[in-house]
Amino acid sequence: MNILIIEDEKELAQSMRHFLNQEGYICDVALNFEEAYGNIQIHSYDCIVLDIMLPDGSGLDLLQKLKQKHSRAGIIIVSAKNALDDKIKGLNLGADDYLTKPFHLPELSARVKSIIRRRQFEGDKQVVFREIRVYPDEHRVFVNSTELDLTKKEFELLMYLIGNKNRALTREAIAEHLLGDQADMLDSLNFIYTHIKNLRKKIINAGGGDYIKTIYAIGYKFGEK
Amino acid sequence: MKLLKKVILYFIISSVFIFILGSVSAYFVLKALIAEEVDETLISEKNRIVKQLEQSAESIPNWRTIHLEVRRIGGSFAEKEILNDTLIYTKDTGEFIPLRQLHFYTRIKDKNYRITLRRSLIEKEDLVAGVTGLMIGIFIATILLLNLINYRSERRLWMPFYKTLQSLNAFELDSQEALNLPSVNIQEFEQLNKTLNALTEKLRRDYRNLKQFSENAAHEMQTPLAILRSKLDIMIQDQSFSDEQLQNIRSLYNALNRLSRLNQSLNLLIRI
Repeated sequence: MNILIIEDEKELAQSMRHFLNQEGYICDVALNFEEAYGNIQIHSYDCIVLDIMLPDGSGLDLLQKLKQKHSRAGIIIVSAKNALDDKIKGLNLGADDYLTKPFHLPELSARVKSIIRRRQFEGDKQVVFREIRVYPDEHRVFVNSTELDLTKKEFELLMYLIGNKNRALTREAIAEHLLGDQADMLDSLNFIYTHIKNLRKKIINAGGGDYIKTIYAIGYKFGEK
Repeated sequence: MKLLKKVILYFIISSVFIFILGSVSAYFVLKALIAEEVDETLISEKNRIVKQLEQSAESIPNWRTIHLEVRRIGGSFAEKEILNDTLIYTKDTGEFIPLRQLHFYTRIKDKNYRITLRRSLIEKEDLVAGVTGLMIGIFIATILLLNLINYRSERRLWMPFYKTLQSLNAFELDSQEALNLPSVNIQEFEQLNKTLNALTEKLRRDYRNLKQFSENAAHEMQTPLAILRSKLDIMIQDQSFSDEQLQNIRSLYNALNRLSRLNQSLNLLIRI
C-alpha cells in the first residue's frame, strides 16, 4: 500500500509517516505543492493525505489535478481550518474524508484503513481478527459462528480497535472517534469505560478471547496478549 | 421628544409669556393714558362751568344730572378737589356705568356751591378692550405664523442630521461597505459627517485587524498542537514506560486537551 503524505509541517509529516509505516504502509512525504505535484506524476498511490494550506499553493488545486488524472487514490484532506466552506469544497471536488487539526494519529490510521478497504475489496468486504469477523457494510459481527448483538457505538468501537490493533489508544482518541467534535464538550470520558466493558463482555460471552487490555493512565490496547 | 417639537415648545412658552406680559402692561398703560385724558377734560370743564356760573345773573339752582351736580351748601368749605371713580345706576339701561367724577367747591356771589362733574368711562373702556383684543389677535397670528415658518425651515435645516442618524443606525461594524456619509453645506453637520466617517472607518479597520489577528492566532496554534499530539500518540506506543512516566504522559495529554479546547473556542468566536 502506497500512501502520499502532503504536509508542509515537517514534524507532523514525520509523525504521520512513522505511525502509518508501523501499519505496514509505504509512505512518501511531500512538504510542498511542487514536490507533491512531482510525486503524483511519477507514482500511483492508494491513499493521499492532503493538507489544504501549502506554502506554494492550495491543496484543493492539487485535488483537482488528481481528479483530472482520474487517479484512483483515496484522498483525506487534513486542514487546520474547520471551515465548513473548505470542507464542502474539498468533498465536492472528490475528497473521501476530512480531518481537522489537531487530530489523533490512530484516527488518521483508521480513516486511511477504511478508505483503502473500500477501494480494494469491492464486494467482499470483511475484516477478520482471529475468531472475530466483521462485515463493515452490513454492520454485523461474528465470533466464530455466533453473531454478536452490538449497539452502533459498540460496533464503531470494535472497528476502531481492530483497525488500530496492537496500538495504545488514548481515551480521548476513542471518544473523538465515537462522538466527533462533540467529544470536546464532555467533562468526563467515563462512557468509554462502559462501552469497553460491555464490548469485552459480549465478545467473551460469545466464546471470543479477552483482547482489550487497559493501559495505566492512558487508555486501551486491542490485540493478542 | 423630537428636537423640532422641543424648540417649538420653548418658543411657544416664551412667546406666550412675553405676550401676556406685553398685553397686561399695554392694558394698564392705555388705561392710565385714558384716565389722564379724562381728568384733563374734567378740569377744563370745571373752569368752563365756573366761568359760566359767575357770568349768570340769577342765583344758581340746585342741579342734578349724571354729568353735572350743583348744590348750594352753607358754612365753610375746604378748597379741595376730589377726583375718583364711581359707579352709578342708570334707569335707562338698568345697569351700573363706570364714571370718573370731580368734586370741587366754589364760591360764587357769596354763595358756596359744591359741584360734581362726571364723565362716562364706558367708551374709554371699550377702546381699551378693543385695543387689547387687537393686540391679542396680532400676537396669536404672529406666534402661529412664526412657528410655522420656524418648523418648516428647521425641518429642512436638520434634514442632514436625521439622515446621518439613520445611516448610523444601519451601520454595522463588520459590513463590507464604509459608512460614507454625504457632504452637506451646513458646516456643523459637514464636520459631524466627516468625523463620523473617519471614526467608523477606523473602527472598521481595527475590527478587521483584530479579527484577522485572532483568526491567524487560532490557525497558527493548530499546527504545533497537532505536532504535540502526534508525538505523544507515537510515544505511548512504547511499552517500556513505568506507571509514573505514564502518569506524566497523561498530564501532558490533559494539558494538550485543554489547549485544543481553548483553540476551538477561539475558532468559534472568530466565526460569530
